[in-house]
Amino acid sequence: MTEQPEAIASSSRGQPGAFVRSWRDIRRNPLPLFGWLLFILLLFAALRNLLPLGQQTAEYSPEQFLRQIIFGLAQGSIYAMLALGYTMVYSVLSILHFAHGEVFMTGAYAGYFVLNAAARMGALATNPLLSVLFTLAAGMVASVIAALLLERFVYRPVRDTPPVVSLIVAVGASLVLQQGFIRLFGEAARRYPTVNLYAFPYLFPSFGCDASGTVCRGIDLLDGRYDVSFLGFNLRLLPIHAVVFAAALAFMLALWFYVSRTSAGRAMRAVAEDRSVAILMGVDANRVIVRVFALGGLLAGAAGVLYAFYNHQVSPLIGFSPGIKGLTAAALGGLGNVPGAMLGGLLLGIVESVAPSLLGLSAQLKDVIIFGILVLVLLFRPGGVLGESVAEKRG
Amino acid sequence: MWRTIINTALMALALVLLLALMGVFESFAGHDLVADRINVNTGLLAVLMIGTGYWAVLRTGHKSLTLGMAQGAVAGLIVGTGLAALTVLERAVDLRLIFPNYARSLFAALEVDGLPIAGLLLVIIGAALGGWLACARPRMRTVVIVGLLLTAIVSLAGERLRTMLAFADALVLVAAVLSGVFVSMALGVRRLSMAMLVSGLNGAAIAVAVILVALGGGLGPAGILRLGQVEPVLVGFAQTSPAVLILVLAFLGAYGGLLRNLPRRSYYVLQYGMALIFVIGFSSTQPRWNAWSALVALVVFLFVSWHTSHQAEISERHYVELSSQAQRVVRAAFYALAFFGLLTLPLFVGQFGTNTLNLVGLYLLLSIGLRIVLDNVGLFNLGIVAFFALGAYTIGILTTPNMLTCGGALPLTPGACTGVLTFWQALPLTLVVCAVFGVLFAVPLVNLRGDYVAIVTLAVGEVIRLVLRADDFHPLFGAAQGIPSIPRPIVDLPMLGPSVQLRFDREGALYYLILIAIVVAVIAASRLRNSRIGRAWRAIRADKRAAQTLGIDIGRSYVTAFAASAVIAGLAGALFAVRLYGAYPDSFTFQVAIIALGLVITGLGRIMALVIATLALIGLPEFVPELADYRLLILGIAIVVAMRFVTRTWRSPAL
Repeated sequence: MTEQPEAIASSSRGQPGAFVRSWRDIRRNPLPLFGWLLFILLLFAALRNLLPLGQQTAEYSPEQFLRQIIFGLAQGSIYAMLALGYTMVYSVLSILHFAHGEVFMTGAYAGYFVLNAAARMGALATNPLLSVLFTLAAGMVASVIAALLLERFVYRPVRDTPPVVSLIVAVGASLVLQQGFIRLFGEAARRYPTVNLYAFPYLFPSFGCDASGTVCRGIDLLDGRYDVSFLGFNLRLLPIHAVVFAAALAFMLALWFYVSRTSAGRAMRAVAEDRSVAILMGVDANRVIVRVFALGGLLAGAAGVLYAFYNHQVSPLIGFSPGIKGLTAAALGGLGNVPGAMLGGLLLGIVESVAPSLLGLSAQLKDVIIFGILVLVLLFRPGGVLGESVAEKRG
Repeated sequence: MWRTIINTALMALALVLLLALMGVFESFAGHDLVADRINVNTGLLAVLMIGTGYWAVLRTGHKSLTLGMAQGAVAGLIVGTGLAALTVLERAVDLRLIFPNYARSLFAALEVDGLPIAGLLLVIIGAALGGWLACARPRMRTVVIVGLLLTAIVSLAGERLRTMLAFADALVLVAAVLSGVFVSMALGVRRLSMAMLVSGLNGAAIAVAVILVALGGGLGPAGILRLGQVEPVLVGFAQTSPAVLILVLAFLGAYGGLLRNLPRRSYYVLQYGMALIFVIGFSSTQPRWNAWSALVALVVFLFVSWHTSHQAEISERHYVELSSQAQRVVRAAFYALAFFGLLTLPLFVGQFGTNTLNLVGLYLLLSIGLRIVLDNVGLFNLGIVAFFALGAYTIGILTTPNMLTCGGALPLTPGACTGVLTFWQALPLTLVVCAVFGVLFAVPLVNLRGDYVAIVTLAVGEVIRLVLRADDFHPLFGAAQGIPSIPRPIVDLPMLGPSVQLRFDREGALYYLILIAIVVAVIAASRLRNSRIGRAWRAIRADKRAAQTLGIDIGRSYVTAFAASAVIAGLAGALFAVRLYGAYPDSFTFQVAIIALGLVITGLGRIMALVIATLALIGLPEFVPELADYRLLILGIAIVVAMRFVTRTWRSPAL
């Protein structure tokens, strides 16, 4: 990126990374100083909680910390997959794809119907792996369809309008999808069928044995929870967290390969750089945009099904919270910045999981911490942590 | 050509199926549009079909009336056949496991007056009518659409509206204005002041006549003034005196002389207002909202929309020819009438109606607050609900007993201690708090681009709600229970006596408080918009960087805009808390922000558009309880659709 966007630049933008440069700068713009002070304060609060200094150590153990990190990684993978959708759409169209959370919810719902049908037909018991793969595929396909419909009927008519217009339309579309699902499928949450997917019997020979102890089927990937003692830490591990993390990683690797190594990915980057020039170079921008929406939908659908697997339920309202978290993650990483979105998502998941108990606050305030961080980051580095890598297209 | 029609018909069929799966036909199954004749479902189907026929023919682009009707009818036939097939199909398949709201009620929706086939006939006729509309002359089209739409809306809320106005009241009101027009025309009065005087006197004469009739036994059990079930308010003299009636009718009558000189919009408002008054008055004579009510409504609305469609232009021409001073008088007189109408509204609409009006008023106030930033600066403040909550909680904390007054002893025993301040002392403080918060809110946004502004405001809105909800701050904000038992405002009037009080504890009294707040907010917003600051705001909306180079201080503009927005939204929040007797965190969800956004977007432009949007989207669901489930869905669709039209104006430079 040779050209940095100007409109978002604050006075601390000139030298990336240098928060505080000289006394004169501080006098002119004292905000970064406050930022550092706040950071140190938070760090102090966190350390006081973690190290055996005060009385709170009894409540907050390193085991808890580790467990929260693991949970945070899984949750963060979901956010990262969502953030990728936001950031890719933003990079080619400069619009906030606000309805992305509902795309995610669509995937979770489609997955529910397939899984439910499989459970009722008995396929879930006889062939769990295939059922789960089908569920995942159904979720992805439904989300892709939802994303493409949104692109065609909601975003395309307002393309090249002021950002606030497309944003408002996106908010409206998100409301329509959410409320439409409430009316169609009912507001009540539906329970995801329990899936016992046993795997790796040779790696884990002592897991998943039946009553007689003769047949061992390995660990239960989706529904198991195991108490493990590791390096002196007694942890309760859920394989689903690892599955989510691994799946997210696989998807992101595939995406990275697609974006950086294929000609379609090159077209995508060209459109993100400058749409009109890309069109002049013979890139079919419309097709690229459709592809971006489809990719975002694909990731969101997979994320939706995975999320529903470890939350065990779907409702039309589940899209909202992960949706804005994904958006926050994308903004943290810098809108339009693909690695930033991945990093931002993982970071967000971990912070959300760890920060409340680290700071000695109640879990109710975890979103407050996240949004607080977002506001602070945007205050001091308006381009996100890794900076925006999107060319300035509109004022 | 036929392909277009088949496509449109299939799309309409899909839409009907979608609605059926959503359970729309099920929700309205018990609700009659016209008592014992037409169900809401049939009406909905008819409206859909008119739309289908219209759209199908419009897409083919033909302009021949007979061909248009034929095409519409064909589209209707296709949809009808499809529906018939679906009704057969829906008995065979049970989808309730997937679609819990779907109760196989499509078949019942097609029933008219007990005849199952009649619905299909209606489908075809509706589509043919739509086809005809698409080919009709524009004026005819507008007249028919407006007439049908108004009739449909009034019929939907008919059962509630019916009890609001007595026929005698309605007749007297309409007669005073209309006869004023005729008298001043018949006498050939040229001068505006003379015309107003003559028609005012005429109104007074009508009032005297009515009083004479009343004295002659017109108010008796079977008297002529007691048409219908509703107790007359104006003519009844139970709450008002005859002198009030004379004054009111003289005042109203004066508008008869003014009527043909009003600007276009005011002319529309007055005409449709009178039509509505007459229709509601007539329906009060019927035992239910029946075929007669609907028929009268249809005829009156068709007539008025036909009449106004050319008379409004003539009236506008007369208005333009007036001297500027006379124009000002006309405008002031019209505003006075509108204000007078709003003042007397609670007398008529009853407890339920006032309650609804209060809700509408609060949403209106919130939307005015949101509009200041959205429409002027072009920034999307998703955190408007934070201001709303702040107003509610500040007034709640200041006026209820809490740690500060009770010495920290919790839980509080009721009656042990009182609030720190009264409502009137707390209100200015609340507004100051909101303004300060608005300023703080705006500071981080100054350097951000529009997209990030939306994210940050959304984040701050959520943070405020979560903080209010959190158990960590229970002593101050009451966590999920909120702040209960916020007192309603009382005005002591010591000059009139030791214990004379103006109590705003009934809905009717609160209405006036909200009304005053709205009027103040509207005036303030429009003054701000046209001031130097407001021009700076709009310059920023047009082009932030260009505005900056022209010397406009972005930071100051943002701060002032958000502060003004916060004060108005905070005022709405304070009144909201007073109305609910409490501030609860769940009243301040993101949905409230979206509702306000929807209102602002659908009511963009003049303040009247916002009022109509609020009445339609907030008021109507209160009148039609079945609509409440669909309110947000309708709002979302309204946002998406309205934005298509808004785009045209917002894409062009804003100044």
